[in-house]
Amino acid sequence: MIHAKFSLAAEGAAIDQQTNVVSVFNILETIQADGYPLFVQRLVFLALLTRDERDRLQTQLRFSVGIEEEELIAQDIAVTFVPENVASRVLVRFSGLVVPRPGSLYMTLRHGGEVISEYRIPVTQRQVPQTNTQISAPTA
Amino acid sequence: MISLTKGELFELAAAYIVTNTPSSLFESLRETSAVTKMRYEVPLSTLMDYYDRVTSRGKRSEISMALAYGALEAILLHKDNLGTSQAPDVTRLKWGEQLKTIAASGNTPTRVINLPAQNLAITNTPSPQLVIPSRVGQPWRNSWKTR
Repeated sequence: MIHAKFSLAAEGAAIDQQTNVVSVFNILETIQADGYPLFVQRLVFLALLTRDERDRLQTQLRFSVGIEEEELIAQDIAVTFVPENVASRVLVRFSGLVVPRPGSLYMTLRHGGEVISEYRIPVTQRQVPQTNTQISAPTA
Repeated sequence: MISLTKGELFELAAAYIVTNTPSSLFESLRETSAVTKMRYEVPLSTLMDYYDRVTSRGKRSEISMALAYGALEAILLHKDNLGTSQAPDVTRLKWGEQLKTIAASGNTPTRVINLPAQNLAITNTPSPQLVIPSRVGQPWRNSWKTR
């Protein structure tokens, strides 16, 4: 059985080539904007997966992104484990994501149809204060 | 048979002395020429025997401790140990268990997917005509030309 220890979305992530340690930058907890649709330029999704000892070393996961009931992106991901380690990571880098409207943005990983990881980001509309300033044209 | 030069021994001891956390010890030891030599040139079984012998001594000096940690790290990262993850009795060293955990996390594979911007819809919307208001009673003119 594949489990997810954690999953998150952030603005960026880097893998240290020497130590193989992952660093994430600016974890996204909420998204707030003046208007929609909104183009989110920098976005990554990271999940740390673990398997049971008897599980296969290669498996297929389904990654999907959506807002409320609407699915925006769906992608199959082949995950590989190594024999001496029960952990494996999935790192998805987006080249930009268009969020069509406010709501609950979700990123899920499914294994055999079962959701093993879900990260939700509340997407809200920023309330712009109304002003009653009137600019009159200058007179001679 | 493990043959290390005096310089390699001092380098190993220096790495052991100046570190103060398991992760810094792991990093420092890995960069020493002694651990590199042990990882790639010394058979795994020889390293295991050597680790047993060094850690079973009652009296421990800085150099013998550095050798013990160096041998342990070389075992954990040995080219013939990938896929089997053999480890000796790590409890003989204070930071042995931590080094084993760090070595195990170092081989966690990462599946990286680069997703193109799939749901981008590009629409062409004409801009409204730009209107510059002139002063009331004064026609618009380029004042800089008349100066």
